[in-house]
Amino acid sequence: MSLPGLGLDEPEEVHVAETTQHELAKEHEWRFEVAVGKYIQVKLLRGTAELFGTELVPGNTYTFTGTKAAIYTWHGCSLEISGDPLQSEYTAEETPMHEYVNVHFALETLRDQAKAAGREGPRVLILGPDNAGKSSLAKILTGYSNRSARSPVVVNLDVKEGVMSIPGTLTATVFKTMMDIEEGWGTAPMSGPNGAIPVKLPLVYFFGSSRPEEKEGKVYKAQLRRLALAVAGRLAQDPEARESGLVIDTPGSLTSNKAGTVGYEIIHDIVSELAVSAILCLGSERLYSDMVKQFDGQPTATRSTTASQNETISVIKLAKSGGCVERDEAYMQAFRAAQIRTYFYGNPRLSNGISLQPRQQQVDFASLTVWRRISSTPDPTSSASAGGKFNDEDEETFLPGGMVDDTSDTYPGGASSKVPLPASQIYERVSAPFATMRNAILAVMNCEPEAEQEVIRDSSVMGFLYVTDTDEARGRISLLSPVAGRVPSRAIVWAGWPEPVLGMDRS
Amino acid sequence: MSGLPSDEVAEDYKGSLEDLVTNDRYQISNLTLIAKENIEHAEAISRVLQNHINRAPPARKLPALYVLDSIAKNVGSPYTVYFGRNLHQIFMHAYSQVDGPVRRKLEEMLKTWREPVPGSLSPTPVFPHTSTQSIVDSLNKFRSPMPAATRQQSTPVQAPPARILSDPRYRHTPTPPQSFPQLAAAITTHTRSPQPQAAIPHLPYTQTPPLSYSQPYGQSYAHQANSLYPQQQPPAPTPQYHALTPQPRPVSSGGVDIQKLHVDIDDLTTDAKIECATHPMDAGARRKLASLQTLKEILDSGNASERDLIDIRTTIMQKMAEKITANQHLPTQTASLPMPISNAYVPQPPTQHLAAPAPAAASLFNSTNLAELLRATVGQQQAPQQPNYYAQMQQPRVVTPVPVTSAAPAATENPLLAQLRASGLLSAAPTPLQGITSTMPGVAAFPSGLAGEVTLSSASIRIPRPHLISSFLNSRPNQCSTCGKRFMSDENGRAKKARHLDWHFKTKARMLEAEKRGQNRSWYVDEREWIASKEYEDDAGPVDAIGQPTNGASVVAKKKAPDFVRVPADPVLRSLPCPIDQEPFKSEWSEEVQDFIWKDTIQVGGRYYHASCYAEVTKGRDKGGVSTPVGGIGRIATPDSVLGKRKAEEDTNGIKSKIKLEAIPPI
Repeated sequence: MSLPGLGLDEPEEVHVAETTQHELAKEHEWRFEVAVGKYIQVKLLRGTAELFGTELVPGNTYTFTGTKAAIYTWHGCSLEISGDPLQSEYTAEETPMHEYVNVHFALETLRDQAKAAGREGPRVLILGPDNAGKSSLAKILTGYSNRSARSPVVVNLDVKEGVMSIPGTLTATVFKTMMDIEEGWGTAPMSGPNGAIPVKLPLVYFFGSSRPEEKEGKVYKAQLRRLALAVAGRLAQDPEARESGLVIDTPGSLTSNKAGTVGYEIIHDIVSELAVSAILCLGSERLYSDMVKQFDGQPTATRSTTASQNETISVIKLAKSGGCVERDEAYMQAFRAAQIRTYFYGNPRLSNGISLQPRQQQVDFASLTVWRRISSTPDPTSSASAGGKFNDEDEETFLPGGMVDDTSDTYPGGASSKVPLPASQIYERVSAPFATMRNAILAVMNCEPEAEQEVIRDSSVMGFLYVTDTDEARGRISLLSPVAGRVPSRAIVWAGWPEPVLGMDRS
Repeated sequence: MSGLPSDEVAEDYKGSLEDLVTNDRYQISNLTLIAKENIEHAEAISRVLQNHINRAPPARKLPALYVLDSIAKNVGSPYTVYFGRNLHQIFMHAYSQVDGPVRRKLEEMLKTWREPVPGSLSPTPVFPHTSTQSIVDSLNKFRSPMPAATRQQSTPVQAPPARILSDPRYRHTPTPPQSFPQLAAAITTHTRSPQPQAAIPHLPYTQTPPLSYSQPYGQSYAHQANSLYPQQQPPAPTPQYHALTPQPRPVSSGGVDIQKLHVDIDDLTTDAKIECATHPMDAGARRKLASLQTLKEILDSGNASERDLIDIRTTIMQKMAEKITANQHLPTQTASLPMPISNAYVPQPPTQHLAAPAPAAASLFNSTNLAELLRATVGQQQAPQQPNYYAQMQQPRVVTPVPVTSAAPAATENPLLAQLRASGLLSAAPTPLQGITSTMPGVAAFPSGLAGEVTLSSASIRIPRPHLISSFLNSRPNQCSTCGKRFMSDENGRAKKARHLDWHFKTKARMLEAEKRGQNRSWYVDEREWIASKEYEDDAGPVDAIGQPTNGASVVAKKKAPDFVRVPADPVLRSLPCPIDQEPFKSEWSEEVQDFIWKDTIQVGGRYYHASCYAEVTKGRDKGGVSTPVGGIGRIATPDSVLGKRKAEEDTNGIKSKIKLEAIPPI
């Protein structure tokens, strides 16, 4: 052991602002990886540069953390990098940027036509296996559209990464203003103004699993349908969004064989629900040829009776960027944890970042209506640690609940949990806190606490809570809530994914 | 000073704490004095202070902790007892949120807590070791895992065995350092190898000077001012100024005298404060004060780069020069120094920038928009110096031709200036700045309509089209230097950009205010709201009506349904209940207004009422001739001082009781 007090005299974790400069030649790209929890600062000294389609401002310092990204320059530039050591960095000269920017030009043509005719702009679906650069392409296309003064709707169907929200969600957001360079896409609204970039409102659905193909994709498709409906509603009343169209990002697992046919079924659903007009295939020949077979030249799904009858779907193959890297599970997990942390606490170390103050509170569990997603969360009644005590309480609070008819057969019988639940049931009421809930993420849904299962499933999300502690004996639960005040009286869903994050109770 | 309930004292104290933004010695000593005078409310005050430290945004934690430190050292018990209870939590919480330089200052402070109060005869440390030891332990734990992984230079405290062996000094085991001050000192000087900040020379324990708070409070540990701060006088303003007549400096002069900068900034801040106090409605003065404080913050944060420092210095010098000239009523051109931007990047054909006046740092202190400022101040009493001030401001822009090389604004924008620009302070430059891409080859040679040639097919996508790219990249040459948003170079684009910059400024102002309250994530909207929502472009946002929130409240109230107001920034006003029914107001977040609002509330005079209560009471007046509670309410316009606030509170109490009496129906 060291001398008490001596720690103070430690040589500081030296701020060797090890500053390096990079000169990027025209049409080169600087690729870098920063670990979660490490921070680097990048400054554009001269020239022009962009990060996934969004321009860097000369002289501004940008802080990056937990990201694998690339800064591209069309004309050459010089960058100054300082801060923590990078996991990897190199300069690449071969990039598919010419293809990507051409896609933008093609989309712009379509948007101009759409504007002239009062139709909907292009709806672009991006497909490809994991780590093919789908999200990056989505960002590039969105960034370029912003630069052309468009405001596309970004639909994120990739449940592994959140856009404007935490992972495990499906979101739709109108990007009328710039993306935040440091925070990937940007952040959801806060109680006050937000730095240099206007806030954007996401519409959020909580899927709560990493596998869209789960349950034959039923839950996923249902939420997708609901989201598509909302997007259609938005496009109908927002002319700028209408002519700009959609950019749809998808999970890589849809295209993999593992998902079997369900993945392609979901793609079909996406194409018809969102009336996709262009499919961009990244990094997989097989996928491209499958998509051509199924969709190329097919008429688009028309959701309105007006015009656009003769619109057909185009399927395009795009090169995968050499900069795409495998993101292993450990990284993704840390990344998800960081996204969740940012939801509650913000990240004051980013230049536009703001420190947020979530409220911690302890509430009587009985005052909440918590539903757990069957099959993805542990069953409290079957878990040995929970003990029999819970069953009794279960009974009491279970009975009066206005559950859906098809579940009524679980009520009779002394031990309700022993009766197999009907396959159609998605959620089960949790009536008492138990230890495995600790560190879990709960979603507050925009629906009545006792709403029907399908209603809960299809509801949009109001916000997320984090379980900091449970007190089984007294039936209380400690929650971290983004907003002060009572937990709204809504249905609360515990889905078990994104996985529990430790230590979220401290900032 | 007594007789007041603790709550009120606490509320006052909280208000004053919220005003503590920078490391201001006067404020800190003032807060210490108040704590001393109200020692009977020690518990309430310490509670408030602790809450404040926990809640404050990272940038304000250090000043707040200095208040705690100052109270502990100068007032002592019972504060030390109250603080001691939660010391670990407070300290660690703050420590975890701040960055390197501040952490170092915190550690310095912690060190002094483990020693006797400087200058005191008693050998007991400021805080008992039982309270501080756990912090030290936590710090050790906190630091040990990080550096080991990444850097070899930083020795973890619980170092790997090899390290311990190699450094014999670490082998002394459990002796508390206090019994070996010299040893500790020796180690200190040895291990703390690269001295990070020259401004904080490291002093061994034994030599710790008597408690002193020289310019910024935090550096007290380094500079031996010789007395307790209550004795220190505000710096006499005038004499130094003449020594400071600015000279155009050689561009890349390296060292910047930070101490002097501090002194100068403090001087200017004092003046600005006086001006603010004497002309409370002068938006320009307030903005000036804010920008000074920003500069000071940057300076205090210690991570300003050399270039920043130079810029700050230039700015300050110009400001000082303005001041001198203002004093002499002789506006001269000294205020328009060219900016020292030597190592800046000048785009290849520099001639293009000829027309663009440099954003001379002098314009820093301009209001966003002269016309707006004038409008704001019309009808109000103008300060005697006021006209002069305007003349000053206009001068550098209008009169002085700026050397070509110093132009190149957008490209050379330094973060500090960019920040200030973001705050709108620099946006007054008459010509929008040119982005550098406009200097790229192949500009605008192609009409943008050519985009039609790319079709959405795999083959067409593959053909590179450099001409399209350049026209795409150059179609909007006019770039915002804060966020990078681009605008057309035509009339329309310029107008849009002006609105955009305005938006930046307003957001910045509101952010400062929001910081006080603390921010949190809001709930997401539901489907209906989302479909109906309109993504506000920055230039047309819902915030456009207002620069200042309080005035904004009435504007908004007029525009929208007149039954809600923005929650006032003033903590006292915020905490007062409705004078009629004595119910507190409930804050709600409004998406529309993008701010907290009080529903069913109106503002009359300086005071807020529940709209329904007010309607009832005024109705009563119409009928029964009962006088409204409005009378005399204007007085409440919250002065800044603690005592003043208290008075205001009493005033309203009086009114309240009056209303109560009147509310009894005559029988």
